[in-house]
Amino acid sequence: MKNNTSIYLRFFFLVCDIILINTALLVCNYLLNKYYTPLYLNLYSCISASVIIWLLSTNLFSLYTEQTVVKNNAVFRSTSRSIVVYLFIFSIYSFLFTNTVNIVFLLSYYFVLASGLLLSRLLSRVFENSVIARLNNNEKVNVLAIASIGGHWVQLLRLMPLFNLSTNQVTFVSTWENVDNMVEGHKYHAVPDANRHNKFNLLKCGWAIFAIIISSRPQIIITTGAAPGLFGVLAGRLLGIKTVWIDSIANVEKLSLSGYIAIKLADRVYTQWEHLSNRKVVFAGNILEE
Amino acid sequence: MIFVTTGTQEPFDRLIKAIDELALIFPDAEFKVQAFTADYNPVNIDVFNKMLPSEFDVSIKNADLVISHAGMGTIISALVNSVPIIVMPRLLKYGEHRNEHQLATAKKLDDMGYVNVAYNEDELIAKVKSIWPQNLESLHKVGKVASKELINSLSNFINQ
Repeated sequence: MKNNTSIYLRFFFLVCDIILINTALLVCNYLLNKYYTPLYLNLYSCISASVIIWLLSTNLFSLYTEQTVVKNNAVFRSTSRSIVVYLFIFSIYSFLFTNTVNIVFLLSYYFVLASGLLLSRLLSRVFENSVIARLNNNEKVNVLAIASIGGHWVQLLRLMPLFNLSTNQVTFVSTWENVDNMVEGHKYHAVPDANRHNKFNLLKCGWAIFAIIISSRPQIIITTGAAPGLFGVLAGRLLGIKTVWIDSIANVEKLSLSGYIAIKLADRVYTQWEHLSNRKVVFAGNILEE
Repeated sequence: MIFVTTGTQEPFDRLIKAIDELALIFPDAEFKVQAFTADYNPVNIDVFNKMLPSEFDVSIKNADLVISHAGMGTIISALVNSVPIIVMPRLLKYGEHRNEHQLATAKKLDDMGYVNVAYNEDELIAKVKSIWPQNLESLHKVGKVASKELINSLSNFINQ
């Protein structure tokens, strides 16, 4: 299953890039013809040449292999090198095989091409975990664990056996600066605290959570609440990351308000009380009993 | 030592007032109090506003009795360390919390026999009088981590 996905996705990336390159070519050709000077390019040969040269130069740096595609850094590196080789060969090609070499055309084409590729890579970076990371079956699972300080944090820490599994690599997020010593051996980020008394801090908190998620690119987000966790679930939903909401054990009679919102957003919602479980809310023990 | 804590977020003056009275009743007992006080200024006790988690842990471990709001962080810490605890739930009608979940938590844990619960200041003072310092015992003990069932369920979901 995973291998098939991988082949389709890699092929999809290749096709996208080739479309991007040739669209850049056509656009530059059209604009320069219209507003600058006629170029008399043979578009058929230009497009075939650009496809062949792109395949050749990306092949040199293994841009679409399974090993490269799963790591965004590798994709960036490989893309930039491929672009350089492509530009070099395409310049030679245009000098040799097109009747009029136009420097303005070449420069504008290269500029549009490079910015298009850069943009596509930045975009793929944001969605890396929903697309690329699915191909990655060897490395550790990148987990983001979020809880505001106090009871939520205490409950999150009681899942330590899960976070200490060698198959998981965990980053913790809470709302106090000085608690990183409680999660030694893991990464820790503090975000602004937010509760009902300071609505403005909610914005700061939400922004901080989004920033952490985009930079640490987790494959799964686990939270025990409250506001920062809900932002985590929301961000996960928007960016296609798997999310788990564990409702606090303090919610005995009904789920928390955030818990009800999480039902709409998260991939799985747990309650810690059996009588609150239903089709959408899972009960599987609680954080108290060992 | 009696460790009193009201959590990280909001004031809980009813509890602090009751503790202030208790300090008069038991002049020999040492009180360590963490709270945000709003309108009430205690005269018989000193109050810490904020406490580092490490300091909080040490205070719980060294306490003979913990008195707190019905917050799960404090309750879990007391249960893990087998320290007797009396909780007094924050109530919505006094604006002490945004809803009535502390009352529900307290009732549930009371029914399960995990913690001592005082539903108002008078009950709290009576409860302390009845157990301090002779009848101190932790009602329930819990382990250091969540149930295996929950950990396994989460682990399966992560690797799905």
